[in-house]
Order: sequence, then C-alpha cells, then structure tokens
Amino acid sequence: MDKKNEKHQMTLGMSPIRKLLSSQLTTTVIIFVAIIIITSLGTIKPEYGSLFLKSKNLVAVFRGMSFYVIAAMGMTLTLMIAEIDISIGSVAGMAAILMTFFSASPSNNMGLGLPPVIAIVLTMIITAVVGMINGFLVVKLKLPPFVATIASLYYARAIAMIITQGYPVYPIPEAFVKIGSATPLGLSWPIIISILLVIAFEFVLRKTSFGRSILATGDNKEVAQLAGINVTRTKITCFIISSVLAGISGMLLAMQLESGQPTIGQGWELQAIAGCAIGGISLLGGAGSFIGTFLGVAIMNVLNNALILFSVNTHYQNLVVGIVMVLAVTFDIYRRNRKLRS
Amino acid sequence: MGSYALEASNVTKYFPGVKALDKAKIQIDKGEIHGLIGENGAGKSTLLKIMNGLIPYSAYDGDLFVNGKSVVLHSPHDAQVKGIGYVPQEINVMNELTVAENIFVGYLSEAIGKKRFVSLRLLEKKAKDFLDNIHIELQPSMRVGLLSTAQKQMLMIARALSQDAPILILDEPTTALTYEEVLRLFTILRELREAGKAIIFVTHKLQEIISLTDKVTIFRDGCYVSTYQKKDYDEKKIVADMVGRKIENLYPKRNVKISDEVLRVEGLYVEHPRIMGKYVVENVSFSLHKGEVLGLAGLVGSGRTETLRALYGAIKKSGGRIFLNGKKSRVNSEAEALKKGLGFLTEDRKKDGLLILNNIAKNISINDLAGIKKYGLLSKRLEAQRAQKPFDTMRIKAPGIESMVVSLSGGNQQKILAARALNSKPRIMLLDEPTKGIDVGSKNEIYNIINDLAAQGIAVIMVSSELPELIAMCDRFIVLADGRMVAEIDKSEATQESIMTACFNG
Repeated sequence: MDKKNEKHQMTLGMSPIRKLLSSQLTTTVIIFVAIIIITSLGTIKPEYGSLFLKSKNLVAVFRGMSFYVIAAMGMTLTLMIAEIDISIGSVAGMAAILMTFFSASPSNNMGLGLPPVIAIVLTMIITAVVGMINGFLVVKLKLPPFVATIASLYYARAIAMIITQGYPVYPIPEAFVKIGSATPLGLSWPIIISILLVIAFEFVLRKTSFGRSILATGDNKEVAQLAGINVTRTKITCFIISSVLAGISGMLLAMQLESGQPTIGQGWELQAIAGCAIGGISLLGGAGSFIGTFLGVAIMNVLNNALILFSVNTHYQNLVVGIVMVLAVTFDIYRRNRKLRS
Repeated sequence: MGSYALEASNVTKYFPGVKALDKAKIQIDKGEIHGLIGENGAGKSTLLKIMNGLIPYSAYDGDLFVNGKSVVLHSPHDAQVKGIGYVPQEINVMNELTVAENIFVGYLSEAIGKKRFVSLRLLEKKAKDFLDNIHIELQPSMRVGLLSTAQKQMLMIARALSQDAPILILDEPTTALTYEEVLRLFTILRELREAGKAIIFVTHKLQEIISLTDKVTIFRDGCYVSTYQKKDYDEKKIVADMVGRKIENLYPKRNVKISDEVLRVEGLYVEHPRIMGKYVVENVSFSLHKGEVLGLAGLVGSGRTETLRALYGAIKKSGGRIFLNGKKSRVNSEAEALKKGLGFLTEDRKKDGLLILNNIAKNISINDLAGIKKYGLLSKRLEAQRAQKPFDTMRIKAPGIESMVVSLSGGNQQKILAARALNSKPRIMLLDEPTKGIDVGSKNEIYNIINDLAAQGIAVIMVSSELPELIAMCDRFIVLADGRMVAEIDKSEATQESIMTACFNG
C-alpha cells in the first residue's frame, strides 16, 4: 500500500516534459535535431533546394568530423573515470608523423621504408606507451591529470617536430593514399570506422563488466575499489585506449591528407572537451555515452558548416560555438539538478 | 500564547509531490533541553530549516514565535539576528583558519570592535574569554584542520553561540562523536541549560533522549505526534509514537548454533598511514565461528575499522596470519576478499558506499558483475532479478529497483549496501557501524538481517559505537584500545560498564 502510494506520487510529480528531460541523452538529441532542422531550412536556395542537405555537403561534414569523433571518444573515456586527457591532439599528430615516417620510402629525405602494416602496428604500440605513461603518472604517482597529460601534449608534439623538423612527410605509400581517398558506400573509411567504433564502445560500456567498472570508478572510485574492481587497472586502461584512439584518428587523417603533417591535431583537445560537454558527458565522471559524444561533435561540426553556408564572417563562428556550448551545458546541468531532486 | 522561548505552530510545508510537514508544532521553554525525535522523513530537518530561516518565510504556511512574539525569517542571517543559533548536522568549518577566526567568521572586525582591520591577537583573546565562559576547551590560535571531529563539533556549537543566541538548535550532533565525546557534549549542553538557553536537540537515538533531554517531541510522517515530560518518559511509548507501530523487540533474539571455526586471525598488524613505526592495529588475534556474531568494541580510533578493512584487503596488513576454514590464506585485495567469501559493509555510505549516479539495481550488482552475465555480457534481466529479491525481502522503500539511491533515506540506503554485500554470497560478513545514522525502525530491520545471516551460517564481525546494540546483537566481544586487543568478553559478562572499563583501562 505504502509502496504503491509512493509510486503514484512519483509519477504524479513527473510531467511528460520532465519525463522526457530525465533521459540521459535528451538534451543533446534536442539540440542536434534543432540544429539540423534550422540549418536544413535556413540554407534552402530556390534553384538548388537545401544546400546543407546536399549529399556532397553532408558527406563532407561527416568526413571532416569523423577524426574528431574518434579522438573525442578517448576524451570521453578519461572524463568518464573522472580524469582528463589533454594530450590527444598531440598524440594524433605524433601518430600521423610516426606512421608516415616509418613507412615513407628512405629514398626521399625522410622515412624508414617499413611495410605499411608494420608502420601502423608500431605507431599504435608507441601511442599505447604514451597512454600508459599518462595512466601511470596520474594513477600511480597521483599527478593531477591535467598536469600529467599537458606534459604529454608537449613531448608528443615535440617528437613529431623533432622527427620532421617541421616539414611534412611526403610522399606516403600508395596503400595509405588509397585508403585515404577510397569512398566505400559513398562515404569514407574514417566515417565508417568512427561509426563502428562508437557502436563498439557503446556496447562495451553498457554490456561488459569493463564498461560497468568504468562508470562505477568515475562515480566513486572508493566504492568501486571496495566492490572488488581494480580501479588502477581500469583507469590506466582508459588512458591507454584514449591515446590509441587519438593515434588512429591521426593516422587516418594523414592518409586522407596524403602526407604526415606535424601540425595535425593541434587544438583537438579543446574541440573534444567541447564535444563531450555538449554531448552530456559529465566532467565529474561516472556518466555519459559515446553516442552523446558523437552527437556533441556532430553538433559542433554542423554548426560550423551552417555558419559557412550562411556566409557568416569566420571571426563570428567561434563566438557562436562558444554560446551554443554554454547554453547546452547550462541546460544539461539544470536538467540534472531537476532529476536529482525528483 | 504563553511566552515560549521558541514556538512553531501549524507549520505546513510542501515539496514537489510531497507534504513534508503537516500542521507541525513544537514549543521550547527557556532553560530546557528539548528533544526532537522521529524517523527519517518525519519532517525534523524541514522544521529545523524553517526555524533557521533556510526555508524562508514565504515558502511555508504557519507561524514562528520567539518569546511570544511572531517573527518572520527570510534567511539564516535573520535567524541569527533573532537569537536562534543553529548547528548543522554536517561538520562545516574552515580548515585553513584558526579556531578564533572560525568562531567569529562573518563579523570578524565587529567582534573586536574595530572597523576595518582585524587583529588576530585581539580576536584570539576574545575567543579565549568566550570559550572559557561556555566551558568549551579549544585553543583559539589552533588551525581548525588539526582538530578532531568532536572538537570541530564543539567549535560549531561555539560559533552558533558566539552572538549570544538564547536559542540553540542542534541537528544530530552526536553522529560523528565517540561515547566519551558525547558525554562531554552533554555536560556542556547541561551547563548551557543552567545558563537559561533553550536548546533543541534532534536525534535518532532514544538513549540520548532519555539521558539528556527534559522534554521530547515526536514527529512522524510530517505530523506532530506527541510531547512528553521527562517524568512521563517511556521508551516503548516513544518508539511506538515514532514508528507508528509497536516494535515488540528492538533487538530481536536469535537462536543459532555456533559451530566450526571459519576464520582465525593471528597477530594482525596494520601500520599507521602517516606515522612511521606506529601501528593502528597491533597484534590482534581472534577466531570466528560459523553462525557467530562477534562484536568489535572500542572507541573511535581504536583500530576497529582498520581491523575490518585489513581483513577485507582494503588496507595493507603489515603482519599477521589469516586462516580461512583452517587453511592459511592471503587476502591482499578487495577482489581477493570477495572471491574468498568475505563481505564488507562500510561505515560511511557517502564516502565509499553508494554509487550516487546509479540506480538501486546497479548499486547492488556492482560487486558481483560476473553473477549477472549471460554469454559473457551483462544481462539487464539477470541484474533486475538479482536486485529484486533483496529489494522485496529487505523491504526497501523506493518506487522500484530503477530508482536512484540519492533520494532514499539512510535506512534504505543501508539496506541497499547490505544487499550488495550479500550479493557475492559471503561466508564471513564484516559490518562496520551497520546502523549508523538510520532510524529505529530501520535499525530493527537491520538487526533482523544480521540474525538471518547468522541463521544461514554466515559468520559476522560487527563494529558499533552504540554499546546497547552491540551487547544485544553479539555472542562474544573483543575490545580494542589504541590498536591493541585489551579484552575478550563473553556474552554472559558483557555490560556497558565492563566494556567501557576495558576500553579505558586497556
């Protein structure tokens, strides 16, 4: 009787709007849909139809954002365990240089001429080591994650610069160029890989004990530890995956650019944090989803595309991005507080 | 209206979807310690917030009177000005400042009669006089971060009194205190009563009402139930009024045969986390049997919690041997402890108990994720099944297993943690203050759960600062003092006196 009563009261207290608002992804989805609709309608030209919805434009937006999506997924993982990985951009740049440097033909100025597959594997191992160092510094030596990963941001970029002396690595093996310019299903490999990764990671997060350990660790690491979860291992693993994802992203971008640019990944960390924030990833850990990150990054990129299509002055574009981010996160926090109180 | 020092009448307060208070009332005289008791959710805190101005005048219906005059409170500051001092439940001090600064914070310069500048020396002198006056022993120049929890509690009381408030409201001030410290607090409160202060003392603990207060008011479900004078105190009646039903046996009896030894600890040592060469647990040895409930008594800081945590592998043992079922075993991590059949219930739900971002089902399943797997993947259905059973048998009061844990009462949160500990099917259960901060009804239910455990042949070690409960629930007692085992007392010889004597003389 008592229980029934409470249940009744709970449902009474939840208006349909509040119910909708209480789902984890809702804010992001609402903003995403709103931006898509506004952009689609806003860019209609009488003779062409909606410029935004032209498949060529959509693919271009998608292609551009896929690199950010992959890198931001690493950021998401580290935010979920209540840490942060600022080094992802530099690690992406380092990976782009390492892969191209390992595989480029030695007959040009630089390159070791290793087979492409070996170059990729070696690069992934080195990025994993960077992640392991990040994890070790943060979890074992208890450095603040901000400080530890900013250090990595510097030395990873330094590695890229030292190897190349600031020049791009060019030309790169034909195999990479082919992957970079291929259009499977009318899309591109980075697009497909980013979607597959989002789905795979979302699945791991929801359906495996590793995923549950991540969320529990981010929620309260003392609780997770007492519940028998190896918090140290969980956290270090997340840092490793974060670096490897950044590396994959950097390598894919190098393939698309058909050269190893030492500046690849500059500023990605902030883009990734912004995408995560808009995507509903709590910066305090324990909550979020990879689909949220995907949508968050998509919102930022669609917004950028829209501003270009609307021919807004470039200097105003960052202004709009800043405002949208504040609005999204404010709305999200408001919604969460409502939820906790109900 | 008579002139009570403080009176609230006809107070009604709604929260979204809930009526927190329904025509509640309370009347406090000068020179009186007035107990306010009720289960969680009875509306005590809401009433306190109203009397303290945290819930402003416009947000509720009803009237407040100070000395018979109607008052309107818009903020805690208003309440202070009108002479109502408030000591919140949570410790709320500035660790980096001195005792003197903490006492007079908010009006530092006024306190010493200067306009712009604050002289620490004058402030400390003023604080010393003030503290001497109210018989609270604290060093005014001490940095507050160095104080013990109890001293911080005293500090908060001093702060509440610093503006010469004739009315003092204390919200469960004893939750963080040891037995000894509680006694000191009581002495101070009695002195304040002699000085004519009107004191409201909110608590869960019946014993404190009986020994300290002159009058008690009982709330239940947001309603005023009754007020008794000291001479009419009757434990049974008070409990019945609190829970709305009679609890025949607060401490239920159990009849369990104690059999084989399941755990033997020999010479357990745990090093002090910060001080080299000092031990928080020193040469502790005992054994534990199937179906037995072993009480670990001692003051806070005597090494009780550390003993449990070391057994569970949560802190490092620096020496000693552990035998599980007669076999020498290692337990060096929580995961290993779980695997070897140990369960642990923490004393601090907020710090290392609850996953506040997760619902009840996920909170229960977290220590045995393998148990809810199907084809190697987590199964929502299995998780729900696992959670539903304890949810029903422990009568957890919540809309369902999908509810978030933050909004639940302490008693229900504790049941969830007990359900989690049982989730991994332990053979040895380590309970650290299992009834801390929960109401009488829930306590009774926790006691029943403990008896069930023993009946299932699970061996239990229980730590509790509430001696009556420890004595009633355990078969045998070990007393720790300063990390050392000072006595082993059999049930037949266990009294509050014999255990306390051991604590102090050990």
